[in-house]
Amino acid sequence: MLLSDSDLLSAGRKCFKTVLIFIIFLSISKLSLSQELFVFTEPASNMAAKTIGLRLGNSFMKESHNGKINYHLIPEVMIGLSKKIMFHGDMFLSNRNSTMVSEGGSLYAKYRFYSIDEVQKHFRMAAYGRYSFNSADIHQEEINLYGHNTGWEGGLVATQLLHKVALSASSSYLTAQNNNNYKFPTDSKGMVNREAINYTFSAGRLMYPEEYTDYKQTNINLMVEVLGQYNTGLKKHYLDIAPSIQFIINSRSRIDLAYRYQLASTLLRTAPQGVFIRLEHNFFNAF
Amino acid sequence: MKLLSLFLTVLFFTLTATAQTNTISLQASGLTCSMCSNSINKSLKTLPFVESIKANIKTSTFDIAIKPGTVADYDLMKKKVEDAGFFVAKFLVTVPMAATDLKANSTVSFQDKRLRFINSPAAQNVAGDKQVRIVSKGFLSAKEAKKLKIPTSATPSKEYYVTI
Repeated sequence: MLLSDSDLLSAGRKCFKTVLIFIIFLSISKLSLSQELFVFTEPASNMAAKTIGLRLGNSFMKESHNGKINYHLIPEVMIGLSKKIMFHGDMFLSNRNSTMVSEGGSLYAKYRFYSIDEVQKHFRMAAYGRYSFNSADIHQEEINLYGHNTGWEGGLVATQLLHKVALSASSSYLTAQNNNNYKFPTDSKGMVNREAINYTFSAGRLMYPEEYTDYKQTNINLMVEVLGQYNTGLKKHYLDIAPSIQFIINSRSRIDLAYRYQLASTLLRTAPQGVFIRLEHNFFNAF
Repeated sequence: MKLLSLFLTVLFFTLTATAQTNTISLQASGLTCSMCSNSINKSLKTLPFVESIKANIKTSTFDIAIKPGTVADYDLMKKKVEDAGFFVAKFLVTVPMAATDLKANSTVSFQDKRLRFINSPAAQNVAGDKQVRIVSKGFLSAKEAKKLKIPTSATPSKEYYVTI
């Protein structure tokens, strides 16, 4: 369960660097207001009831050993069932094995169970769960339920909106299963290391407009997310940082541009770094 | 003579329109972003008695004009804000009042509702269209309700605690 001293030291240094980068980043952005519509994580807030959102995720990940770019296409449907419950359904396609094929899908649900709201402020908590299935070959120790592994995930997320800043932290437990005919790999001692803990920290801030006057104004948000995983069996981890820029158009469409960068990893990962582009459109009062 | 009757007719309709002015100003809590504000805006627009909404995204305030001849359902409006994922922080209603209406803890009938005045100042001249604030549970933050010492006991259906 515990990291070794040197691991801790190195992770600590990387964490410190990350926090430093983040503080610098926030000081540069001197403008007001905030966002919590993060790219790699979900906030504790839900989408509005009776709203349907369509997303198209495009990830371009660079393979570490040969520099090849893997393209993952992730169409996603989001449904706000009630004010407290929402669902996502995803499809995972990729060209990792030369041609573009559909590899699997995922169902995600989130339940907002705690909310203290004040004008331009809130603290909220939500529980979430995901089931993913995938038929692709398993090629790394990292467990990734967003397009790579079959498995379950359950977690908690807390989000604080403080007028100028939105901060969110989550932690989840995940367990991987075999991908169809591909068995989840064992380590040299024959141990299966299917279980991991994911933890995230996200922060966002609105850069433009300085003052809202109209729903048609394009909003520009800057965000930073720190994404980590600790495999409890292998006692290995990774830590990524993902800065992103987001455009919100007509208060109903979104374009996210993000770069995911590996800060540290003792887990075997084949393509940890790359660009992520997501398009989203929301239909309010859809049903 | 024709001109005079036309003038009187216009005047009559203008006065009638003024008398029927029926607006609600609602402030939502828990949001800053325009997409969040828009989800409230779109949600409120589905209500049949809502004629138009002027949204101030910066302050999360919605000035809602009620269709003439219809009656606003406050609970439904609150539900629409909550369905969008947020809460009502302030709910102001314009009510025509007679000079004698306001006494401490008295009630006033308005449309299909009864408004129970709490924390009212001593009797004062309140004649005319007055903006009152609905302070029943769910129409302001829990923190503010505590601060303003709003009674926690439930009111009958269509009865609301109000302050002026």
